[in-house]
Amino acid sequence: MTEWPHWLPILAVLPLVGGALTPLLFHRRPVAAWFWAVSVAAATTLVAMTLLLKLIASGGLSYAVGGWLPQYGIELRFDEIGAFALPASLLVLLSLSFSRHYVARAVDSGRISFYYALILINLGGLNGFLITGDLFNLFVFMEIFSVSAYALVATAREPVAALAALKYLFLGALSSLLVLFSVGVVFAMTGTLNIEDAAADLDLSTPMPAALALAGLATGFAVKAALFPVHFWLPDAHAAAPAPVSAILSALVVKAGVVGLLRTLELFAGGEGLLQPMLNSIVWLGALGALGGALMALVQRDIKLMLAYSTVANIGYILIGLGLSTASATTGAMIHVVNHAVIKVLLFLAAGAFIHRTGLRCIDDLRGLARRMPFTAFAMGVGLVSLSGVPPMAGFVGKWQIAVGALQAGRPILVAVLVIAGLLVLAFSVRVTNAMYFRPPSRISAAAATEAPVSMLFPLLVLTAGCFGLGMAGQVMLRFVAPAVPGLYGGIP
Amino acid sequence: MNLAAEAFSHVDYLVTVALFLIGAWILLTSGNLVKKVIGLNIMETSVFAFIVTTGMIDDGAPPLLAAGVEGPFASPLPHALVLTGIVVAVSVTSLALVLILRVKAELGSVELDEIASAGEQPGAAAPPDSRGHAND
Amino acid sequence: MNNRKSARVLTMALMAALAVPLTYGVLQLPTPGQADAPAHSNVSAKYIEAGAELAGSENLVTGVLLNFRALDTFGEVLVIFTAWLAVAAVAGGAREAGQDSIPPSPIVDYVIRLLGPFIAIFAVFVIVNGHVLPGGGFQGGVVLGAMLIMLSLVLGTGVVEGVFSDRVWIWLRAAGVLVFAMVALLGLPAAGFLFGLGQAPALRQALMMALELAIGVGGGAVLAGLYFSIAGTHRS
Repeated sequence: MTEWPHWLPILAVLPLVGGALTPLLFHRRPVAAWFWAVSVAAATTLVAMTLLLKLIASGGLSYAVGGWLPQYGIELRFDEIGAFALPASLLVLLSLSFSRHYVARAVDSGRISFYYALILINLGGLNGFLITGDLFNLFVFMEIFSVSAYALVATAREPVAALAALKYLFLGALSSLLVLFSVGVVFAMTGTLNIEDAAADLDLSTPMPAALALAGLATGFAVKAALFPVHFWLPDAHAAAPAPVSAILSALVVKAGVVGLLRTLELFAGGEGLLQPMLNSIVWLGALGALGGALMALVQRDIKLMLAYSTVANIGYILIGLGLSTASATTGAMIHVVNHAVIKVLLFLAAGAFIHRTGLRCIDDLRGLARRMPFTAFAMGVGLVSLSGVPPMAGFVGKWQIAVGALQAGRPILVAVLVIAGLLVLAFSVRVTNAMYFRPPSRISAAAATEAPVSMLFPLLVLTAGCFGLGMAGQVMLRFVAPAVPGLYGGIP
Repeated sequence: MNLAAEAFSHVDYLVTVALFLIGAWILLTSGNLVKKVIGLNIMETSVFAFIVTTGMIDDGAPPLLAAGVEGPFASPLPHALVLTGIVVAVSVTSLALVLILRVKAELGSVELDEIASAGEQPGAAAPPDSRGHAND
Repeated sequence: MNNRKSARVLTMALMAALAVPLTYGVLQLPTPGQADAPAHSNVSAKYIEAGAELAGSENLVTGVLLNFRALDTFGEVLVIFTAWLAVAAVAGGAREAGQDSIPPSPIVDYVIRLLGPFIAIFAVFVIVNGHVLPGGGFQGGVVLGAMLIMLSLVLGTGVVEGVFSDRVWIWLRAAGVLVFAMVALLGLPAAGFLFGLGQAPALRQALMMALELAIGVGGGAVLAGLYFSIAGTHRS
């Protein structure tokens, strides 16, 4: 089974076609649409698992779409970065499972099949983005997941959802255009769109057109990744979206910007003069984002806004790790991409369960819920502890590695930044946990709530186990992503 | 003078850069949502023009190998890229317009100033960080 | 107002700051229009040299779109379908029944009704001749969609939308994606790889024609659907 060579394009095409079929077959049948969406996502997860097993067994794969050589056609490849498709598919599967009861209240019933279709198409776009080896194909898949993301934000019923989606759309389209412009510049310089060939053909001796392409790609992907200071579309969009959508956006779509930056680094590997200033700016902007995001999260009253700002903070950590360009910092950043994704989905789904049962989003209104919804509160607590980076949970390994990398690179200030941001995260975690467990209920709906239904509890418990498991498996993951690092910086150790 | 000669030969690219910046300015500073969409469209058009220009040849022929056509052919690759790009631009624009319609219906206006001031009045729809409640 | 003014000044400064490196960078690119630029000597030269036989189409752009870079075109068809999905999922605020637009003048009405069938024939012509003339699936689809929109202006969106039931419209819109996926699967026996069209001339022509028609019909239906969502009365 693992030897069948065609799994690679199927990883992207399956959820795309499955998503397109959803409104055709299941219009106005929400439960059937849910079942179909979960099946398609499960099948995609299995395909991703097969590809990962093949990667571990025999190294990277590549696939020539249409049978054309990479010079003529589009090449797909599966490497350690592409392996993110497995956690991505799994997290989408869990969010879809959660959605069954959630969307009954949060989305208009005539639109539910479109909701599931958009989520599957989003997954397909993400998977395609992760496995492509062609610059323009990267742009096309980026647009697929972006357009579906803008629409998913607007499926919520709140009046502000449309405005938040519009803000997201404007900034997202602007960043996509920067990326497209840079692809045009690379094409004008090298005549090819294949990433490996362009990296080889790029003449990095004269700084100028190359720096333009680098700046365009880096800025475009930085906006998508919500790096400070271009992160301001994120809080409103992630807070206004329905909870499963916020989970997918914060955990996966934002990380696609990070993956885009990784691919950009691959493209310009070898041009130290060009890359160094960019990496330095990324480190400092990441540090500002980490501190600023954690600070803003601390002062929020709405739980989803708090979680959204915490995403900005974590992206800051990840980009500090990337910018430092030492082996331990980069591997730490890459596994934090996965760990943070798991933690953030857990947190958003737990918050969603609270909102579903009580209709309340304000942290102060969540007082006393631990008594009525013990499993959900436990899941939220585990998520918050992991977010704070307490060992042996999932959030610890990545941050520790990044801190080690900062020391190795001779930048102890960054360690201080990481520690302070971590303390701020701990502060708001304590605040929420305190409200849930140790305060009496202040709202009637909180006092009368019942535990979330099984289709919501199941993903929460799986994710809780995941937080523990990923924390313990930290070393294994670090060893797994290590081979990808040298290709990124072209020889900077 | 060298710079002037360079600028003259690259005038196509300079015009696309100018359009790009104009579009970006409109997108970022307009107070009216529909004007922002127009700015976005200007930016998109400029990028497409840039990409197509990279594939053009002076006095060349379009990439159609019909009988009897000779001479240097323009590159077909940028044309394919821009075709796809135009479709993407149409998709984004149509979604933006529908979202603007919804904003107008729910918040009453397409001018950002009016939306902001409406949000500060009590009882009107407010952004989520000042309320604590979600609609069911 | 002060806030807005300072935001504008800041943005103006940012644009000016951006203009300098952008201009300088763009001036360093190879001169546009020269035949010896890398853009022409690298992959493009191979397309022009051998592309027509390998792809089976004299219109090299169609060859690139449907054969060499078919995955991009699949993505494009999917994006436009996603746009319709997105619009259907988020639309709100369409006009209630009874709010009519100003009817066009009798001259416009007559001319549109007269030209409608000719435009439709032109659309089909563009779609079907995509492999020898400039044109192709999406181009023809846009003309088709434009014709449907024009007719809606004159006859009313209800009439044009009522030609097919909702279910049929949805299937027409998805035609592009679904037919493309089926042709992609057929690439496995035909060329040994997904999205390949193979080298057998008859099969290749047939597959390309199927793709062109599907993209054309799908694109036109999606464009019409986008217009119906924006301008029509709300149908859930």
